[in-house]
Amino acid sequence: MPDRLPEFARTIFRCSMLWVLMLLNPMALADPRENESGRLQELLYGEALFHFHQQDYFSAITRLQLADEQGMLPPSSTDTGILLARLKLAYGLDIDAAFDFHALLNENVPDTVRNRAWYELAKAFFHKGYSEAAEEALDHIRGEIPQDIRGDHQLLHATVLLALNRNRQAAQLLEQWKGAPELADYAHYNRGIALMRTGDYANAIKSLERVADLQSEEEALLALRDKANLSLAYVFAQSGSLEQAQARLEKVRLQGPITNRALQALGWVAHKQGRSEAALVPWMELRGRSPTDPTVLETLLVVPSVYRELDSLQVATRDYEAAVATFSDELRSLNDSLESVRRGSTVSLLLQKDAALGGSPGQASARPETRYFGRLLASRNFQETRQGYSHLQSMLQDIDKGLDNIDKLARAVQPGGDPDSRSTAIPPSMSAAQESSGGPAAGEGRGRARDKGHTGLPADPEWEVEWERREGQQAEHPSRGIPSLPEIELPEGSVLEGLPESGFAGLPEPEFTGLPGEPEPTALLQGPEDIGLPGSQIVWLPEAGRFQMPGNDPDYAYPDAVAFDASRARQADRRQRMRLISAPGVEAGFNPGAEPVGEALQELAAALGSATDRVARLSRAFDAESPGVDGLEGRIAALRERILRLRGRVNNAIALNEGYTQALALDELKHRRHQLEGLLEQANLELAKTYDQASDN
Amino acid sequence: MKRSLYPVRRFLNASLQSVVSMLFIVMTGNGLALASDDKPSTRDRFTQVDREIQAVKQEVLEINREILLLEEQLLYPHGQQLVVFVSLSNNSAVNVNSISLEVDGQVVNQHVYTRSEAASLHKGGIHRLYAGRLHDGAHAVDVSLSGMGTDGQQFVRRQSVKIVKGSGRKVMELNIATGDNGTEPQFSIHEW
Repeated sequence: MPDRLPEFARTIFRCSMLWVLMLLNPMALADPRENESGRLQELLYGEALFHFHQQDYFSAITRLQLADEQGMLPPSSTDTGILLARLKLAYGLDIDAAFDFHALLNENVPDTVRNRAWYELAKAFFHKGYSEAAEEALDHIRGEIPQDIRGDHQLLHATVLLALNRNRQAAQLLEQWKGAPELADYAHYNRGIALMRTGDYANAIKSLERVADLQSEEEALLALRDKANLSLAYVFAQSGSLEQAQARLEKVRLQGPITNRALQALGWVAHKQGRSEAALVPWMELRGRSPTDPTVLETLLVVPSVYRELDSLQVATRDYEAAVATFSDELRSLNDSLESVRRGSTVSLLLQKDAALGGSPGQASARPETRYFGRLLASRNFQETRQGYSHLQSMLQDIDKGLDNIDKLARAVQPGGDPDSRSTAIPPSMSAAQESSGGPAAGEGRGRARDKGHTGLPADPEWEVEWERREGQQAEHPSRGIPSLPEIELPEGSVLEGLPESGFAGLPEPEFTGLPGEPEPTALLQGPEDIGLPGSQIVWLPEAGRFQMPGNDPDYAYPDAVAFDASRARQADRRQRMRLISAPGVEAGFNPGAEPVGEALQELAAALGSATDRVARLSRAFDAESPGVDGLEGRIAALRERILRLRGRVNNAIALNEGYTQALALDELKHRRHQLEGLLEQANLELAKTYDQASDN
Repeated sequence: MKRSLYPVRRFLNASLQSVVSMLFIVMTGNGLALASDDKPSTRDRFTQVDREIQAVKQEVLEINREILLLEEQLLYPHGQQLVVFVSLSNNSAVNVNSISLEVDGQVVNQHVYTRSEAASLHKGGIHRLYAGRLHDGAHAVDVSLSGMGTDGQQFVRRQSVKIVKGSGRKVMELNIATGDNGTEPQFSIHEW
């Protein structure tokens, strides 16, 4: 949170600058009413700041809007508008904020204020995957960029360009790193990826090597290091430097999100070096892992192909038969899962609150219908979706309670209304401040804290590591390089033949860019002749050798939370801050979009709960002596109507959420089914060929 | 009652082109422009969920604002209102634990600060301690503050002031600061 503060404070107190100047103006000092007005405005801004600092954007927005509507802020103030738009952005209302920014951020707004706002909007869009919109927002940035966000702006812009596959521009942008040292690893890594994508391997190696040996105990950086090593291995393999590729792969941790890919690639490098028996070591290790990982399934086909090379036809036949059986079982199980997802029952299971927050790790993914969703369950996107779903459900309950309270209030305001609904005073024990805070009570206990407990963790340790990485728990995962692989003894009488060069013999495809998993990986295969192995024995070598990131993870990297580079603020900035900030040490911008949607909805649910409680208190506190309010009954009726409409909207959001979850699950399963069908077909083919070969012998 | 928060509408026409451009990117860039017989893609579904949730948020904001307005008008209308804010002076290292507010001898609010609230005060946030109804005329306000000073010692301070409530709203500020000696916390009460 501290990284968000200065940004906000700067804008807030920029707004108060006019008043500060006014206070310094002798004429203004001469008029105490001006002084009072100025301080009152500062108090109101400060109140919004009070909520903002606790990430209670809801209350901050409500309070500021109300103050403005009541005429307590300078009329038609652009500063107020910008501040509100930025608060909306922090609250997740990015489309609304975008409208406001377009309307308000004109040439009259100082460069630093304008650029900071566009940067925040771009970041919010990027976090939601709206890369084009993010780039459009970044295009509005011109002139001076505030020093504290200069580095992240550079990194964000480059990452957006990478997402848009504009690699050359991204590489150029990151040539000179201008930001904080903490982000430098991400910058070097992304530059390496951009260069790798353009085919400039020499420079890609230089950039990636700056990350591949970094020392850190932070899980996010260790994962980045693993990715850098995998990418380096790919580049080295492309350049024919197989020993260097092997060395890099051995630096990937044994337990991590990309360990399986590294093991697979390690086998291919050994195979490419003519050490087929050595290749079997990582592949055998991989083969023993969970078959829910596509990398493992691919290895089931690769291992018997090596045995066949080694003339161990009996072993090869047995392994091919085992592969066919495994693929068939998996396909059957996958089809059951697909059916279950289509029926909706699995979707409910995936979205269960207790599956997400309560029980034991691995619970959801361990069930037969959900065993393929380990990575999905661990993804940040899905976590947010599930949290959001849970909060929407609780909002429905709050809405019902609110409607009930509105009814009580309506009865109370009617002449001769329900006396039970009335009381004559606010109980002294009730915190009036919380009553009027504009939202839920702030503080540790009000539900802003991120849920730390999770279930639904996949049983696979790889997913667990990935999960922890996503959750930012920074669990310790000691960096253990892959140990040197022992040579294995050849079966008696077998002759190890050198393998001819193959277009797909352990090396990534030339067009392979390290990009996230393509939608249909098997469709990328060129055909049997491209993957032929010795002795005219066509051995289907599937995805193996593609040094790609698992699942749909992008190869580029952008940190979840970006530390603002306050230490590098120039003196000019500091001087400006001195005028704009009341408290020292509040020199960071907020981090729009970094707040997970689920948490934002949790806040929303709490806010709605608070709002409905307030209506209940209103009805209790209302008495016949209350001053008349014009059209009170009509307003209460309108409020009831709005809450009813909101109920419909929340129901709609829940339905959309379920639909989205179902689509995510179906995508995952269809992708896997396509792959499995290909694997099964190939396994049957290879098995038949092995039978033929055996009978020929 | 309501007036425009800021002249968005006025600016809207001038920058309509860029706004439309932005929305075009947000919506069509992610595949919302679907052929009628196409099923929405997963990405489209995400965009739909995102937009619907934003709409819900917006609606809750407006409902809450309406409830706040009703609350003010019914419980403590503008002319009869007493609002008390708590602020912390710049560079003050005082940690506030709790504040008790009495008006005419009756405790109207006692607030215990959470860690995040106290941190927020240090960062320039200003806390609305109380908003309630107060009749015109003279009143006694007593404030009791407890916390921890810069020397790590617990402290309790009490202060009383006489205020005169006129026809309009009365706004008070309790400003907490480190004393002249650098350690002794002090607080002052201002009327605005």
